[in-house]
Amino acid sequence: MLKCKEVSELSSDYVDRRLPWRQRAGIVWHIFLCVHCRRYIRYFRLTIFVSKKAATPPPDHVVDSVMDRIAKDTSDNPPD
Amino acid sequence: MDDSQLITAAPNDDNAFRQLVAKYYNDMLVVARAIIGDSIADDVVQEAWLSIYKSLDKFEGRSSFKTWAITITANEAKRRLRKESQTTSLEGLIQGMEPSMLERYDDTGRWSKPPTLWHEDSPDSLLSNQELMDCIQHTMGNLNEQQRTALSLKDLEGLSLDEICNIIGVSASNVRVLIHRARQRLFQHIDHFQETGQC
Repeated sequence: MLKCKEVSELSSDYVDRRLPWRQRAGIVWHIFLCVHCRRYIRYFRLTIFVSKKAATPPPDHVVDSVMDRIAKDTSDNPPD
Repeated sequence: MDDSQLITAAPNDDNAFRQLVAKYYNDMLVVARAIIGDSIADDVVQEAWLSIYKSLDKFEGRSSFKTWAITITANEAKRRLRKESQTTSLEGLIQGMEPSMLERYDDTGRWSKPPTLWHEDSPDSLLSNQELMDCIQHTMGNLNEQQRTALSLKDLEGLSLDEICNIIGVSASNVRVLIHRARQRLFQHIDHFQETGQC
């Protein structure tokens, strides 16, 4: 049976569904039996979820500055 | 208009190009911030848009426009990073597990310090705790460049491992380790916050 530390090492591949079925089954069996790892995997999924939501919000007015930059470059370096 | 129509129209239609910028600027900003930090990320993205504008006719559609734009942004950010001599080896110091996690297991591989029982253990309750969200943002900001980039591309931008490998320039196994260590570090900070109320 997998050790708790091995479950932790494989946890990203497990939640991303990148493990071969035998390893995946090993983790499923382990977390069925181990309350700490069951909690860890649940909290690890929550971590990924809230991290996505915590991303810095974008600035509001950016399109104009990009277009200004392109217009300036085009006027400074007109096409041949 | 969909992306292909916008890309076709953009060289001669400012409005089409503006729509592309509005649609993808933020995705590119996440990548630029991850690689080079907040201070000049906007400048890097603007430079990337300039490159895109000049080479739109070279876009062949072999990848999605988003992947192409993000790759150009990442290359520009790395170029600026090299220019400012802040760069570190992209293959440096990659280990399998976040070191602080290793301390939570005993010699037999069992938990010696298992996860705390979180006071807030639903997505909604976690998201509604502004102090915690600030802590997560702070922790993300303190990840090393490689971890932050890999995590941003995977969990924020939803890119595949192959796409991330191409952008960062490291092997797939190293990308997996970078993502895993970044996530474990975030987990550690949330767990600590739940236990102590401090970041």
